[in-house]
Amino acid sequence: MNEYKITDKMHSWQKTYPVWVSALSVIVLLIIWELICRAGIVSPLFLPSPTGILSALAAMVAGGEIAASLAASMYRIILGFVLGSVIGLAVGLFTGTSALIDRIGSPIVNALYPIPKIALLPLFILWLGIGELSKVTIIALGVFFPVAMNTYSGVKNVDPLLIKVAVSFNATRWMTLKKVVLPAALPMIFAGLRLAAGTSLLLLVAAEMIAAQEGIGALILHYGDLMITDRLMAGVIVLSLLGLVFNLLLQWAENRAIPWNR
Amino acid sequence: MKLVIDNVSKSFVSRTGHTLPVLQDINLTVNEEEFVALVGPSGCGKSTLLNITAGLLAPTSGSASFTHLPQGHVPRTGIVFQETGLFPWRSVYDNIAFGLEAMGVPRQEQKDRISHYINLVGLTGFEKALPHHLSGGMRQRVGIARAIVINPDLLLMDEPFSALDAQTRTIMQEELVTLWDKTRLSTLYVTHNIQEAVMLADRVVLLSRRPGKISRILNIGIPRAERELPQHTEEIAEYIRIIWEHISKDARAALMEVEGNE
Repeated sequence: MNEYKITDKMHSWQKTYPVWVSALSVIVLLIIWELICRAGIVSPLFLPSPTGILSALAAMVAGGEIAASLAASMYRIILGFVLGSVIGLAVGLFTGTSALIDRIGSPIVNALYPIPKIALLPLFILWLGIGELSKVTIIALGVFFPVAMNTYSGVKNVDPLLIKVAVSFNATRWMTLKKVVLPAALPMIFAGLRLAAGTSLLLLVAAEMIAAQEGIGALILHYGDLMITDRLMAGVIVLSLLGLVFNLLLQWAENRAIPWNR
Repeated sequence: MKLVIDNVSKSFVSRTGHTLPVLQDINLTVNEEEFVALVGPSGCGKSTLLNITAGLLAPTSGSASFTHLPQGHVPRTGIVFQETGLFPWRSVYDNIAFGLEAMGVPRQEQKDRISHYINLVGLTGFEKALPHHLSGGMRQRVGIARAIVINPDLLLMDEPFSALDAQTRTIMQEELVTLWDKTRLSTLYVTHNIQEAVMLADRVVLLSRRPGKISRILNIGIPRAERELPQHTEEIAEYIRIIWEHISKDARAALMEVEGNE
């Protein structure tokens, strides 16, 4: 009598590993990096060791250099991000729900969208001066497009049944927009905000490298010119942390705003 | 060939770390050419049991195995999924061919076998259609053809008709009776529809919930092909009444549950 025991064929697809495995991979990478630098395989001018970078960072924090740069950068990115996303949200919402505004606005948005925003910086400097306004504007513009585009398609893809329900209860257009269309589009809007977060960081650094005395971007460029690599890398780490915090904040806001989306 | 489910228990660990028993001490045998229906309220673990039998999930304890197999034969299981699980990018023909491709059946033989089953389930003329062009009933016909074209030792069906409307469902049930008489595949059929179980199965296995335990097994002593006939109407109704009486308390409890887990 031949027997065949049934085994779980999904096992290899559903295997999970504990979180510490991820932590371990980072730690191992850092250790290898440190060892390579300690062994003198690479000159510290090209690749400073992790501990070297860390002590440079500590010195820069203690000297107040990081705080000053970070303050300047945060001011620009927060103002630009808020401005760009609010306007983007409004434009996306109205182009998505009004056929007329859609017809008028869409070709303009679609024509401007593919332009690499940093190419407009010289123009903005010409128009708005070399101060904060041109940098905030370029960030706002970079944030505006992904937010507007995502809001637009989020609004366009709202389940028509939900709108029918609202209309069947004689909800006004404004109420339907605010209480049905907007919440239904929120997952897409947040996807746009996350895209925009990356763009805003990129534009911040680019603008600061082109035309700024202060800010993380200017700081990195400065130490690059002086070939002080560990301080340059410390600036990069600050940027990486800034991006990380930015993402976490957005994630937190998203979980608060759309609990039904898990 | 026999399917032997031997003392199978399954529990899941929830996010909060609690152990949730889903199945407890299940002992069940499906004989050669037997049609067994598993019936129970939602949350009784009937789909879990089916998944364990399909080799898609490992039991916490106990085992499922095939016995009385011909020497050297590796058993095959055909599964009909609730939401069909058709590949949207594959035509009707190519969807049915998938299992044969996995088995390495030569092209020409594939063609012969597929056209036989396409004919048998009533899909002639739809070979080139994509799933999204088909009605729900037609889609599940593809699902059934895909499962039986591999000539499985065991056919598993997980609420295959629950997404269909009542009329289509009745038609599909009748067709399944005809189809089953032609193929006589050993079948394990999961449903929460009592009438469906009584119309289709040789034996109806009732599961209680939280944790799922076999609470009763009924032999339906009417030949399958005659169950539609008026002289059996009362007997069928009596079976349905007995089963409903048995599981209605559990079904009501399931209704009040916050998080359905099936």
